Amino acid sequence: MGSCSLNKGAPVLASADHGEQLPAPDPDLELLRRAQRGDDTAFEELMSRYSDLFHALAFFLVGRSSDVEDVVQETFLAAYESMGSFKARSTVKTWLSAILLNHAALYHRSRRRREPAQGLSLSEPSRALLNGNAASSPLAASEVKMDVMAVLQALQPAHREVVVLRELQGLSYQEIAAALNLPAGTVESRLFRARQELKTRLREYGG
Amino acid sequence: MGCPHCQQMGALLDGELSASERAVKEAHLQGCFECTLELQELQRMSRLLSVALEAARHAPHAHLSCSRLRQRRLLRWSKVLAFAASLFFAVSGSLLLETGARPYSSTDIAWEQSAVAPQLLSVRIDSIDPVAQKLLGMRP
Repeated sequence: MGSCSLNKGAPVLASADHGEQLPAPDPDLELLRRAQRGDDTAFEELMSRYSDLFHALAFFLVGRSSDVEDVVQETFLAAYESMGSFKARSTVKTWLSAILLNHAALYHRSRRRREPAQGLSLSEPSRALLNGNAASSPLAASEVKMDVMAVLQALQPAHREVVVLRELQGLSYQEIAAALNLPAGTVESRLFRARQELKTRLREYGG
Repeated sequence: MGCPHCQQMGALLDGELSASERAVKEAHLQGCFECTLELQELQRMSRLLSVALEAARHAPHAHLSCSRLRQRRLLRWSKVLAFAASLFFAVSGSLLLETGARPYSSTDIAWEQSAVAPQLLSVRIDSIDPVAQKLLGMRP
């Protein structure tokens, strides 16, 4: 795996004075720095930047709408309480993602393991997408959402996490490695196995 | 999956290959039906997941604020305190019940009948001030 493609995180700006390439300021980091100095509005702005995404990710990680709010609030509360120790060794997004994964895993441990969905059959819009056609209506997208949630719940937890981070959150392999505290080389192989399991499940459910 | 290149179709799709590795894979794809199918399947799966994500992002949810987080923290601590208090009362209650309900055992009887007990009791009574003994009705 090449190293150059991994550096696609921070965009660069040309310095006006010396023509040097300076990393563009990370707005998340700016907000977190202000929050660390006691500015609650900055932390609220940070939450609002990630709120929609994290509610969606939590939905796919825990698989129950009723528990999504709890997991997301616990995630942001943990971030609020521990932001003083954030040392910017990873991006704020990666740091928050790691906290979300921990809380989703805690949620899974605190509840009895549910059996993979038996007799699940993919909806027509999901089948259409897997056959290369588009899902157009909001209703169709909602059916796809429920199918994907059920299929992700059937995956092994480690596979589910890596699929969510890559496919849904769009993290790079390096960011996934940081969020899961894994060696960078392990991410590619785990993601490969996760996608194989996902394909198998989708076929099992009629995709 | 027979072709060894198939395993890297995911990395190709994710943009995680270097320019040279990408060029090699793209050239390989021209003549490998298996890898082409694999890549196509991954793309469709990716599309399925992104449609699901978009739908989930639009689901309504509560507005988050710092005061809400602080309330949650307070609630968490009050739950912990309530649990600790109920544990304390449960343990102390069961200890009290056990002590109060303990039957008069043969050990107690043996102790009272022994030579030591009356002496100890008399020592304790004698050690009380005579005026106090009078007040308590222990002495005429």
